[in-house]
Amino acid sequence: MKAKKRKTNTIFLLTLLGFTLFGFANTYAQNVVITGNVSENSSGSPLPGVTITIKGNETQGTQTDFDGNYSIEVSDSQTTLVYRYLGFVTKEVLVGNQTIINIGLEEDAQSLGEVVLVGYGTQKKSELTAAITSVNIEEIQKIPTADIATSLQGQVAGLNVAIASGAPGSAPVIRIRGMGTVNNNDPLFVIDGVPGDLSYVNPADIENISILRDASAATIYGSRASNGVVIVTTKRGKRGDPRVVVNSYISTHSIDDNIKVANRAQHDQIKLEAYANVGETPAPYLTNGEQYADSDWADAYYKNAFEQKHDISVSGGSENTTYNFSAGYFANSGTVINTDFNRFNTRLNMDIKLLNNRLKISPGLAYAKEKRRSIFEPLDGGNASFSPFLNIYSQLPHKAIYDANSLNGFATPATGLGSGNPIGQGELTDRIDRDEYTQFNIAADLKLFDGLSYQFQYGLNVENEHFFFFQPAFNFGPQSINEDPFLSETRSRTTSWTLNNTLNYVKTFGDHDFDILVGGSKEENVFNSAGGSNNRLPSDAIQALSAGIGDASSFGRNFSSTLQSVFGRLSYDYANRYYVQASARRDGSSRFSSKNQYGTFYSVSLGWAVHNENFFKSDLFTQLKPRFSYGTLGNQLIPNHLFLARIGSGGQQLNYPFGEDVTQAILSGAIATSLPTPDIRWEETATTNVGIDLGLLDNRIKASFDYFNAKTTDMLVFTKVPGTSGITTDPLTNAGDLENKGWEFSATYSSKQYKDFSFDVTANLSTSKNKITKLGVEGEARTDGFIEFNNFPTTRTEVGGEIGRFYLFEANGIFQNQAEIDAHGVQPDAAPGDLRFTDVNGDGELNDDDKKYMGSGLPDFEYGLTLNATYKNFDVSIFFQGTQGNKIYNGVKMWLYRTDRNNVSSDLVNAWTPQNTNTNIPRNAFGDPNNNIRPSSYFLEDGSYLRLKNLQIGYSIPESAISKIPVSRIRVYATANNLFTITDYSGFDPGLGNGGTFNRGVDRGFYPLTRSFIFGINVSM
Amino acid sequence: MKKISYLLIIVLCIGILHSCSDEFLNVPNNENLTDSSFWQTKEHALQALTATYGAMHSASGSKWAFFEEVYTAMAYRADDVTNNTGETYSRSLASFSNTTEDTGPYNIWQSSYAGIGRANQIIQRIPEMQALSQVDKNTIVAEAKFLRALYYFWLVTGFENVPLVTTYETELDRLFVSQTTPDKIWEQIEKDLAEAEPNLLTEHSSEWKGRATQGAAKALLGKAYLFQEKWSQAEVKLGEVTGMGYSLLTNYADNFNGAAENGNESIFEIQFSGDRANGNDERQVFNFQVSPYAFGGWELFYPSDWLVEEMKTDLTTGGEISERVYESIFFDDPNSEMYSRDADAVVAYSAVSSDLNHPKYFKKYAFNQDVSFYNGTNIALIRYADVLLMYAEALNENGKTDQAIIEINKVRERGKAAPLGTMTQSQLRDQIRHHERPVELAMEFGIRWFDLYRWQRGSTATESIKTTLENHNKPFVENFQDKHILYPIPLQEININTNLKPNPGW
Repeated sequence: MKAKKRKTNTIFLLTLLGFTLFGFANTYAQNVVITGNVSENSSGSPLPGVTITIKGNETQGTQTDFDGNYSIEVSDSQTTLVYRYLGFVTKEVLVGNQTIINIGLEEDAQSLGEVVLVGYGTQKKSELTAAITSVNIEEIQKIPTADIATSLQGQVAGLNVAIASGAPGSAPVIRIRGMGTVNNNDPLFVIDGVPGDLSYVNPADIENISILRDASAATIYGSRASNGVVIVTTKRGKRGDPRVVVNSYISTHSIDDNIKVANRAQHDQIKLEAYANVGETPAPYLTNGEQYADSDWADAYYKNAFEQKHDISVSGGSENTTYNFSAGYFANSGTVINTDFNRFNTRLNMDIKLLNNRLKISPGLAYAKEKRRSIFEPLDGGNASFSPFLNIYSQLPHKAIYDANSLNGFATPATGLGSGNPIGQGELTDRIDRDEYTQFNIAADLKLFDGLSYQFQYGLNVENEHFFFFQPAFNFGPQSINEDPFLSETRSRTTSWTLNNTLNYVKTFGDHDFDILVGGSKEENVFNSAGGSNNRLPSDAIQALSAGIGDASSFGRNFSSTLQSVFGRLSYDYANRYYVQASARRDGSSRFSSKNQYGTFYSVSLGWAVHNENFFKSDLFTQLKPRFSYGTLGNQLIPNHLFLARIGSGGQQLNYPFGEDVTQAILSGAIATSLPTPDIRWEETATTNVGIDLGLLDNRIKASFDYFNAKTTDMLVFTKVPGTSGITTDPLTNAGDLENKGWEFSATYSSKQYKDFSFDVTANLSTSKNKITKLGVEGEARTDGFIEFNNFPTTRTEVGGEIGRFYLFEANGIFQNQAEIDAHGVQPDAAPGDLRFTDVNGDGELNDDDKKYMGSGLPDFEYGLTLNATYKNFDVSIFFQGTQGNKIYNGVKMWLYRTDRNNVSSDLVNAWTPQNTNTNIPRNAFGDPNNNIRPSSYFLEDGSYLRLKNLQIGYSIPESAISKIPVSRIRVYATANNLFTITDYSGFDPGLGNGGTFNRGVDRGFYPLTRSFIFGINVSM
Repeated sequence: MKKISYLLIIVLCIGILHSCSDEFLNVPNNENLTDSSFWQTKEHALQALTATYGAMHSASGSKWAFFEEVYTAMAYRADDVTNNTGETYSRSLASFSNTTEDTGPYNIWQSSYAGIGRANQIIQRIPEMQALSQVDKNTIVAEAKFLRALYYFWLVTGFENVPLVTTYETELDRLFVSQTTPDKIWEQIEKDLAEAEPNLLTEHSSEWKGRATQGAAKALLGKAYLFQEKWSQAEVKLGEVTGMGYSLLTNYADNFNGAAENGNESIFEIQFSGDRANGNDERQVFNFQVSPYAFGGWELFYPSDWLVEEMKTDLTTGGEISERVYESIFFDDPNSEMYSRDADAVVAYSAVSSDLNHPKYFKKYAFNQDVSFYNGTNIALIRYADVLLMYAEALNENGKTDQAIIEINKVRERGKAAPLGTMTQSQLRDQIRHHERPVELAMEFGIRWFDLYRWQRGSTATESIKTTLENHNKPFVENFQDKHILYPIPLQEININTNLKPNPGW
């Protein structure tokens, strides 16, 4: 079915291609009138007012009309026409035999007039004094994706996008400048002026993205900006006839399964050796091998996914009203059983001009609907739940997966093989999220007088979520029985609104430019949820709670938060040489008690455009602009009402049964389980940024460098308190300080426009290093990075070091004989073949004091390298991305090196034996008396990698070939994502395992990244 | 002028829309009671009391933390239990190679102090509540004191050197307490139990079964005296329990299968329930943990070789192996049988021996009284047979060996073991230590290791723990050092509270 679909699409495209190549012939004559249309290359929008002149005779010329059409008389075929439009690259065309010349102009990305998004407005790039990156959105949109954040990975210096899980529709982890707090490190996303959820925005709808990295840029968002701000605007209409753009792609995804587990024969061999080595009787299933199956569980778990995305947009408008309407559909059929994801998006943006263009009203409405069938994945720190992937890999091959004779088609494990059939359970269990997200936006901009204008903005986001979990009855052995169909459903709604009012005054007095902004903002977030479950439904076919006949449960939440703020910004420059900007914001938050409700944040920044100085004469430098900024930012991303002395109530922790019989009534318990923290207040980060922007060789090379040093004080930390207090829920207090510093560098080289060829190369490199300077009470150390439940901690965080450093025993080879063990003297339970662990402090004992810090999951630096080239109608883009110096604790390997009853890595076939001493795999020993799997450097690996993240080849069908059909542009392309990765990491994927804060780099077996091949088409009409 | 009026209107609009009223920031708290709205009604008081009992299920209340951390950490060092070394839970404690970071002892620490913190809140807040009668206040506070004593009992016998916290503090800087001496802890335990005893009910109504009673306080106090070798006080206190109407169940097995929860033999139990309504999960997992793989269990631990051999000497008057042994273990014997969850039937050893992974298993708590998955069966903390054996021990140490034998024989008789004949004081001491208590109370919650602990430290000590373990072929006993007598003070706790000193040797 999938293959057929793909084929149909291919045939369609080939036909289209043939049609356009062989369709039309033209006749040519001298002294002719050339007519045509000029449009914007990227969007296909017509450009009114483009000047067209004849080269060598600049006085003769014309302009395009409102629809971008023009006509000009030329004397001979050797005439060259010159097309000029402000902000676009000037284009020259030799007339030749053509009479119709349709031209697409390229926006001049190098133009110093480029405008970037800043808080509550825009600013010319040349005037920036802050560390702001404007993302080259067209480059990004070339690479098809369902999620814009994922495609930002490696594109922007200082923006770290890590994939927490490869599951379709899963959100990546986004960090601006590494980690600035142990708290929530998520940046603030502002979509069309209103804080919102970027994952619901169709990447195809995005017009612009700005990343605000330093404090001076972000201060205007004060309270929530300490992790940086990502500002996104969506596409709006342009005057002209309706223009239709269609973008479509189809792709296949597959998992690169590089984890090798033992088959039945290998398993038996390994386990028999393991029992024999400790002198225990082997489990019976190992010796009756032949009667059992030999299943490949992973193979049954994975599948190839088909992905498709189709977007269409229509835009245009009259002098007074413009619109942009778009709709999109995305679907991915999932790479593991019973998962998939689809999303439908639509958006309508309008701009209406009134009162002689003095008033502009801009309504916007967007709706997104998602459906996701997923597996449960534990991505956070703390007590580690068990990864479903590890569960699959550790299944005994002896167990059959399918059983044609069973009612549901899946096998119940044979006697002696234990319980569980995760394939059966996974296929039978439905976990479905159905979410809807509506964004409503209305903005008004009223020009008053003398450069003074007033802006109003109201934005409303409503997120409706529905979670559905259904498990039919099944019996996969006594430990894996679901006696009755179980159903649980939860509905939740988040309603958030933002109201902004601003006054803006822009004025130039001679060489003095002023831009002043003052405003106020209010926000409210309301969350409500209601859910219920029933553990007995009358049949697998009944999936409604009201039909439940078993134990019913209900649950729900109800909370809200508010924020109100006033803010202002002053930008000033003198003669385009000296720039000063100052901002301030005062925020009040409902998350703090009345005495600490308000926080004030401010910043100043300076810039000096040296290249505009009269004394500065350089053939090399076209731009040289040093910048400096300092500012403070806040963070209030904490739960509500923590300042109250709350009473914990209900749940497994506090409830307790009383009464008669084995199923006695369970009574609800309630008591204080946390400390009241009435004094908590804003977390504050002060950032100093020093940067420089360079333009060389006529801006053919552009580079910028930024150094930052951020100090977070009063960090809101869930402070570990002594267990002796009786407190079981850590209170949140302002108990931490953190320093985070680093630098970012990016450079672009754009070649000249040769006849048929041009290219550009962009590289970026960034690094950040954090250091805890205070954490909780003095001397506190925090343990995390657990591999299973709360066992096997691998990381430790303490004052003076990074967040979440690996803290492990040092494995130092394998004992080859008893003499080595005796000489070592600190591992009495070791036998030849076991791992040697270093007695680091040399006290003659191997204990916790012998653990060492061994790096962290945060890389020394990360980088991206993009190469774009065009040759005639072909375009190529190649994007490499990588990290260097990050460590990964390979929890998957550790788990598969255990010698309990589960399946193990096939590596263990090559374990140490007296005959096989040339190996780095310790002996197989049931019960692991030497504790070889203790958290040690043996499982710590270098997580550096270099990945060819994507490679794309595109072909634009020549304009001449399609001039007779109502299409202005057709481009077809093929893309490969994640084609190869160069890494020493032996686990699934070095790019995973970055979900948590204290456990970054701990690989507990996450949904692996997929490799995909994409075929797509862009059509503009 | 026009300009100015424009401006005025705008400024006014903004002013109105942003009348920065602090009211906007006062968001109602719809989810939690607070310290000022709680402690108002009798229901609140009982909820607080419920939460204080709840800490017996571990600090998080999780059935996994209860079994895989708290139970295993209490049981695995003893000589009656051999852990399945294929499983990691408390494995390093069992092989005396644990580090100070091992999570089992930390869970005991956290659970005990969570319970103590909750008891302290009750003891502080209940007396000032208007809504309660004096009798209710007295009863609830007495139960809190009983529980506080129980939690301190776990701490002092596990760690010895622990902080004494008797008030609930909410100021962060007052939480960094220091350790006190074990004597002070024992003193507090005795004080709390003595104060609790007169105010506790002798029996609770049907809906409140499971709350602490006067008998429970007397028995725990008697046990506390035994640990301090206060033999005469122990004899008195435990003797009082024998006069309170408790009796041994006719069927030994009914102590472990849910048939007689909070029944005649029950002094105090940790309550579990199979009720799954309202999202509750207060079940225990012993049925899986003790059952063989072949019966669908996890077989996390087994009876030790020594225990099985010792049990085989527990004979009826006819020379057969006693009923209490058959009801305790599943072993290679023509009469041995066990409930199989897989088959939902009682299965003979001979019928399944070739499928078994290990030659012997415990049977206690394996039976599913309520059919769904994990169990609602309560776990005994102190049962009357234990009281009789402790009473007998006190009598014997007080020179009343003959009387002690009478008490022991009551227990033996119920288990269908032949009565003991005449013995000397030291013979009976050995009999109690190496036969009566381990055979009657094998693997039960918090019993054997702590017996070994108390017997090696006082004036009546005859041998070190290490010697006992060696004599009973405890695996990895060669790793045993004196430091292993106590749990290490958890590193996780020392990391936070630098006032704490590690236990000797750790």
